[in-house]
Amino acid sequence: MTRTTFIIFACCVVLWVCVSQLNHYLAPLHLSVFAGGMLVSFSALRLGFREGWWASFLIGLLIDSSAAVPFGFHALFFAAAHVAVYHFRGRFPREETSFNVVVALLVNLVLFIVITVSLIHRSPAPAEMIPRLLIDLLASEMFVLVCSPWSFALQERSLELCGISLRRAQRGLL
Amino acid sequence: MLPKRFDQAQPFITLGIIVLAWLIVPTAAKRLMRLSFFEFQAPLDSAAATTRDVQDFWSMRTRSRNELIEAGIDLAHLNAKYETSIQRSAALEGEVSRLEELLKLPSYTEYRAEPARVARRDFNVWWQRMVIRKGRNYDIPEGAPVIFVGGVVGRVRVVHEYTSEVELISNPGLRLAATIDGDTRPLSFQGGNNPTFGPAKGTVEFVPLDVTATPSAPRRLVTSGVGGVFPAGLTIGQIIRVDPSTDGLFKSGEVKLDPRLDSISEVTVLVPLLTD
Repeated sequence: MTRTTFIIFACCVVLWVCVSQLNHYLAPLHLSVFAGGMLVSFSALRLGFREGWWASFLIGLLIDSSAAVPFGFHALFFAAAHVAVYHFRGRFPREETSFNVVVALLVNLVLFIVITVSLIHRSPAPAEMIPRLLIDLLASEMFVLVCSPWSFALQERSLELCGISLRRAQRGLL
Repeated sequence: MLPKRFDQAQPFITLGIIVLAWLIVPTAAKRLMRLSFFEFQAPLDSAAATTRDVQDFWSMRTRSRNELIEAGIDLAHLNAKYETSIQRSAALEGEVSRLEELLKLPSYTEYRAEPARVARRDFNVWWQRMVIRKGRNYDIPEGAPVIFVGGVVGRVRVVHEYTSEVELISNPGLRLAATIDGDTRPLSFQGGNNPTFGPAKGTVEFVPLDVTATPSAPRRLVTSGVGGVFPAGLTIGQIIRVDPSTDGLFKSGEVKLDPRLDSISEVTVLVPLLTD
């Protein structure tokens, strides 16, 4: 774990607090937003493997600490998502924001489905969950679409403020 | 130098090793980490909740004096009504104690009511929880029942230093023993799916065949007191539909929970009083 890991982790904590406050206000509507893909994508696309992996794993543990799931549940899924994105990132224009947004949307979709499949046994009537699942998924994807450019900018600028330039590092200037 | 194929697979191998390592980490270590992470983020929830309280306070300050006077008059009426109820309750409690002594019955568990503000609601499709702003600092025990003006909220699942996590009755995983108001036969209540833009729902099983309920003539579902967690007679919800179950021995049905449960901001934790 390096300084970069902690800076990205701190940014993800800010994003997660924003999402949890949004969910607090959406609770009376029985609507919730999941933004796991947004938390993982930047570190998987832009950082080195270890520092990005640790950031994804730590934010997963933070979410697990207040979730009704075994500790490590989100962390392992986030870590797996990070590894998968990292594996394929070399083939794509990973510095472009539009591509980052697409990856965030895809990762969010996959994580949402995987978590649902893992927890569906808890529901007394799984088929009745489907409309709510679809609406939540749609709301989550809309949220990620709107907020991920800001979240990527926040993480990149935070690193720059701390003297870490990803663009210069990727061009071999550092 | 490692072969190229192995080099590409290295992240996956690392992930596999870490997953295996995570599985053999002792439970105590995981618990310690969970508590540490929760306590790390707990001040953020509390700060957000306090900010909301301050916002409410300043929005209340904009109310006119006439509105405050009217609210004061309403409160005075309510206080007068509650005074009468308190006196009646004290007389009934005395009567219950006298009968318990006379008939040598075991006495009911007594509770201390601990009001608490809601710091965060987490009502997603997979679980339904809320964080309240009281924990070990107010001697909140794990498993304590949580109620509000509309009846049962849920039970305390995890207690932290300054906060507690409450599992709601609308949570699909929560089960509790219940009865229909005015009936003594036990039923099983389980939290159900919570449709978007609709009220929270639950399901009820083992309903006797002679019981009927419709949306126009619902039956009030209350806690049975069996199991010792919840005191008897607290409202859970309204049974709005019952249908014969597949075995034909019982009926199962749908329970509509109080809609105020979704926007609740203050709850009361019933802390059992220890008796000799």
